Amino acid sequence: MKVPDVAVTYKWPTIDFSRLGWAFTLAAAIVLWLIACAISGHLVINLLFDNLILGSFVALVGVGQMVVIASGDGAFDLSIPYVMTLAAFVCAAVSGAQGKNLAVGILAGLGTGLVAGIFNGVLVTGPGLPPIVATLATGYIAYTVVLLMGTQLVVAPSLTRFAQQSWHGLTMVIVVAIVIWTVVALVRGQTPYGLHLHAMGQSRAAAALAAVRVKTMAISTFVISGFLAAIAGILLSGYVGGIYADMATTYLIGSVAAVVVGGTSVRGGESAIAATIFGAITVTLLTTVLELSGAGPGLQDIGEGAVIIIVVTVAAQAQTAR
Amino acid sequence: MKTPPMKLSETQLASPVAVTSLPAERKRIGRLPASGASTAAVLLVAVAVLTIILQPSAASSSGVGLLLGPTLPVVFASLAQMFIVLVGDFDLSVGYAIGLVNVFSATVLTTDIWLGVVVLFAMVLAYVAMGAIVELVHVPAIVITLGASFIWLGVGLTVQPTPGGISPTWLLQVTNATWPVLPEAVYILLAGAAISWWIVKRWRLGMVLRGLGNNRGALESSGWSVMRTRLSAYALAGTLVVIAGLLTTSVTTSADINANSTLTLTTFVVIIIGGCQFKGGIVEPVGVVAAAVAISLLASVLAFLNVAAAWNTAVEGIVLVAVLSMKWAVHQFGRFTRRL
Amino acid sequence: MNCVDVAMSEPSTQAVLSMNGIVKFYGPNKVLSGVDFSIRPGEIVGLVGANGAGKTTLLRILAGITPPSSGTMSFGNQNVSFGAYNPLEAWEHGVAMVYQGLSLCTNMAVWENWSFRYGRVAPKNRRARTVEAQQMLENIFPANNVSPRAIVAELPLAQRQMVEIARAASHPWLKLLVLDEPSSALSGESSTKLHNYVKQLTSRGTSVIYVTHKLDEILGLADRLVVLRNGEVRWTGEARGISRRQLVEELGGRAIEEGEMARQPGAQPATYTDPLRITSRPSANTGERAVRRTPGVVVRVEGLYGNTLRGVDLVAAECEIVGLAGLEGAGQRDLVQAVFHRGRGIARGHVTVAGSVAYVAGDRDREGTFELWDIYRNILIGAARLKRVVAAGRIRWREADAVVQQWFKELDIAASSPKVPIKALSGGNQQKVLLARAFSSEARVLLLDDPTRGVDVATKAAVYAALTAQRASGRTVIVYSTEDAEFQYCDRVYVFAEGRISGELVGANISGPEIVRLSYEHGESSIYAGPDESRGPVRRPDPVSAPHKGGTLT
Repeated sequence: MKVPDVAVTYKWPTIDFSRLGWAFTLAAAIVLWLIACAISGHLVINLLFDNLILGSFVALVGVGQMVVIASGDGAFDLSIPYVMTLAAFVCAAVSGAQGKNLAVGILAGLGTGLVAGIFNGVLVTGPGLPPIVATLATGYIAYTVVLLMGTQLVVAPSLTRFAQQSWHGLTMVIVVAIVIWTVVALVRGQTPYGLHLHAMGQSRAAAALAAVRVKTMAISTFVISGFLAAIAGILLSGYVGGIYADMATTYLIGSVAAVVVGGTSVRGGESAIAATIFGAITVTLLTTVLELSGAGPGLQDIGEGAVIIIVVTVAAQAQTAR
Repeated sequence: MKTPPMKLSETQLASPVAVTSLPAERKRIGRLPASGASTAAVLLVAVAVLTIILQPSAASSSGVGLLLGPTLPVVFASLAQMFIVLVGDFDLSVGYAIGLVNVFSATVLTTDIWLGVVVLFAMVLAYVAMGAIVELVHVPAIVITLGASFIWLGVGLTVQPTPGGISPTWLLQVTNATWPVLPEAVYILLAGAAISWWIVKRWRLGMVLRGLGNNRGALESSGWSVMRTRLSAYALAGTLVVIAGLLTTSVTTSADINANSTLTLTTFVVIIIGGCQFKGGIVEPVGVVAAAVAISLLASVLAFLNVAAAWNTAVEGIVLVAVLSMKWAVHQFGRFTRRL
Repeated sequence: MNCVDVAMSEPSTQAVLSMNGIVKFYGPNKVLSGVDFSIRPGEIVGLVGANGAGKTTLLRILAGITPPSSGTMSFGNQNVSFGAYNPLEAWEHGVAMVYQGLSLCTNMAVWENWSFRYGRVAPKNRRARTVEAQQMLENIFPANNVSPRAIVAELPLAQRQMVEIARAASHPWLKLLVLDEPSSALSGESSTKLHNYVKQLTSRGTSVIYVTHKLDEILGLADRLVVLRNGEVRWTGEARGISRRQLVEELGGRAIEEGEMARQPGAQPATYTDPLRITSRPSANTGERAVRRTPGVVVRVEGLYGNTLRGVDLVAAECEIVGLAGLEGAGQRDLVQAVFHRGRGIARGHVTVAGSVAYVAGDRDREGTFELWDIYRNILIGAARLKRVVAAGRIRWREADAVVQQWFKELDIAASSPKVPIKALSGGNQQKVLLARAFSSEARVLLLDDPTRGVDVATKAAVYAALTAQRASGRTVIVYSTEDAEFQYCDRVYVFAEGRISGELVGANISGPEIVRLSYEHGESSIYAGPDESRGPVRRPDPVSAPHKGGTLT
């Protein structure tokens, strides 16, 4: 027997540094930033920070998308951009024009995210709608509500101040994001929830036989995604200082791209937070580089779409080769 | 693959049985309420009645033609999605693909018709390429088509960043011609429904597509190539996408890539109501056409009711949830009564 | 090999199919050891064998699904090269295989499934295909109720089976028809029709391989029998030349003399407290069972009916290992699933379980291992149910390590550390990991679904030892296994036959031959009973009553 007699602690790190996916995406991000610098002719630190902030929004929803994808069975959350927008709108509406009820507004916005998530989850586990259809439907219902809420809403100034202020050199947005990521990483790695999530992502049948409550877990993944989308939407509205109906349309492809570029398998069963975060930053930098090189908005979309297909293809080939 | 003789040999017919009559088609009246296509039919009738009530002038031939015109792109878009779902995949790029064809046919096709034809053909090939990637890489079609949808969008924005363009005159005449008896749109609808129905239910390829959606292993062991079958489905879908795009140009007379952003969800709603099953293998072309017309007409009904256009997608979502819940409830009730 | 010489009437008639020296290894397991099998034109060969004898493997090799490890095969005088051989080529050689329901497209009509292989669907051909389908069905099963236009998904299993058989039989140049348990889904009447057709078919020169567990059926139908046992041809010869009793013996079961009572010397049926009572867990060193207080019933199953089950009652108590034996598909898996789900989803019946349940899957790849994970996490997901491992929503890694380590060592999993990916392990070690998962959950009841399938001998011994240890610590173990010889470690064994329990064996009476014998018992009288058959139904013994005495009943 080769097992040592002394009990060795196989503690799982909160962030899975053992997987190198994050290293590649980090390298890609750095390369892209260097390209951006080359195009503009000098080192652009501001650009980097701006992209880090924008990338944080993508990373926030990317992590939510990651949780949904990790649960397996072809689950995707396509309602993210619409939930983001709706949460921002609800927050603004409840906070009032001067932002007197900001706290309540934020709670209302977060609640919207939770409700959207529950709605998604019930549609998927109840009548058995495929997740993409269910989340699309939820998303469009949310979008309609946004449209109906009109164009007169303004973001509370205090929210904007909060989002833009600096705390020890980091913008509050990033600070909040880091807090959220830490919580998600802890849940993912240190709780039975994380264990069960990855189990059902690999095999729903085996998970059910290992006493995992598959249906409840499926609903919970959508709730998490909706909640994170709400946080991102509220923060985004604060940081940008305004809200409008189409403010979050790029975040759908962004969230999926972040997960995919981060190397997480779209078939479920695994997840990598650090890689997803760096993947989000990479995707944001890619858009910036394309913008800097003079490409129109069309080329940026082509770039993001092509990147997803290429990365997914390459990753799948690599997996079969293993 | 060998083509065997058609007749049964003597060894198999131990004693030739004279088949004097085939069993009559089982009366399906009893099952009608549960059939998917019937849901679509009921919805269509309801919406049609509602339309006529709200706008009596719609009951004329020209009125019907006017109303049905805008439904045509949705119909063909839904049929395209139907063929993808038939083989067990999902196509998230349908909306923007049609938008792209719309853009091409209002720009390239107008200026240089032969180049335009080549480009449209390339579009069909691009769809086939999507299918090839899905089959080769074994990645869910959702991801591939999501990526592709943004490629379509990007190309469309690059070719025509703002709404504009102009439809070729011959294309305009396609949908504005006057045909005898019924409005032209009706003929197009009937043709679309009839041809799709024939492809799915009568053509051998359709049978093989249904087989792929149901039992991939049986297909392979019967000697069919799964790759070629899947590519055929995507080729069909691509062709229908091109048709839908051309019809969009014809109806709207110009191009706007962003006008179709919600079309993808609409196709899913239509397919469900029309009676198709998401796991593949079972589709109802006639139901899909009926549901597509119904859903599109709903938009007109809402306009007649002075409901803001913003409500359209929400109503679609609500109708979808309502129809599914009803079906689920009926299913549960059926199980319950069977247990008694 | 124990062969009976068969005088061939026409020694020059070339065999339609000839398999020689077929050996097949699945990993370290030798499933077939040098099987010779041949069949002449117009012959009906019955292929019989108990669980694990190798029938399925032999058929899979014939069908081209899997190649043998060594051996040759030829059709007539055409040799087969196994590198290129596949199901399509088998079909080209005139072989049609009939399995149970896997090759039909359920979303299509019957006649469409016909057209799948055979050409176009133009309108006149539609009618031709429909006629053809109906003709074929009529030929084999006259006066059937199957409409060729019916959608397969709406047909009951028996009719689907008829369609499968008819479709295979319409092979345009059919030389060899292989039927794998065709009558298990058919009614008696349909089975008779099938047999008539098979006889007609062979009278015209086509050959038929008929695989079945119904011994009466095959004795009346086949020209020649091939008995497989432990991967070898145990006996082959004319069906006329063997009696049912002898056949059962060759299969591995011990026959019972006519009129003799079933002796169960020294066996005391366990008595149970009634009603269900939850007793506290006894201490680890339990010593002799006899000196302990009467164990309480932990699992009770009453009147279970559904899927393959046809009315099953059983009980299981703490500190005991209950085995579920019998031929595959006789209902054991459905029973295990029903106990795990506590009766949800089953048509009729009650299941009561006092305590938590842990499941050990036999189909490792689909229901057991999480293949992206390492050993550690595959075990941990079971241990995560323990209160000391998960406290306040967090995993306590020190405790988790201890539990994983404990089971890693105790089951002697052959890997350098628990961090080895599970896919790197052999089948036997993967099974050990699944056991560790179930054991570590400290569940009251352990359900094992064929845990030693595809597992090497050393691991099997380890599994038995582990289960015995679990019993000693008070658990209830219910084990379904397809290896009749290994039920020795069980306290009681329920033998399943065709969805019912045909017998219960206790203590010293648990033996391979007894299990095989009971596996072939039917609940009803056989329509093929010959002059030397024992008549009458076999009553399923009540676990609480006195030992069953043989003889005829109503």
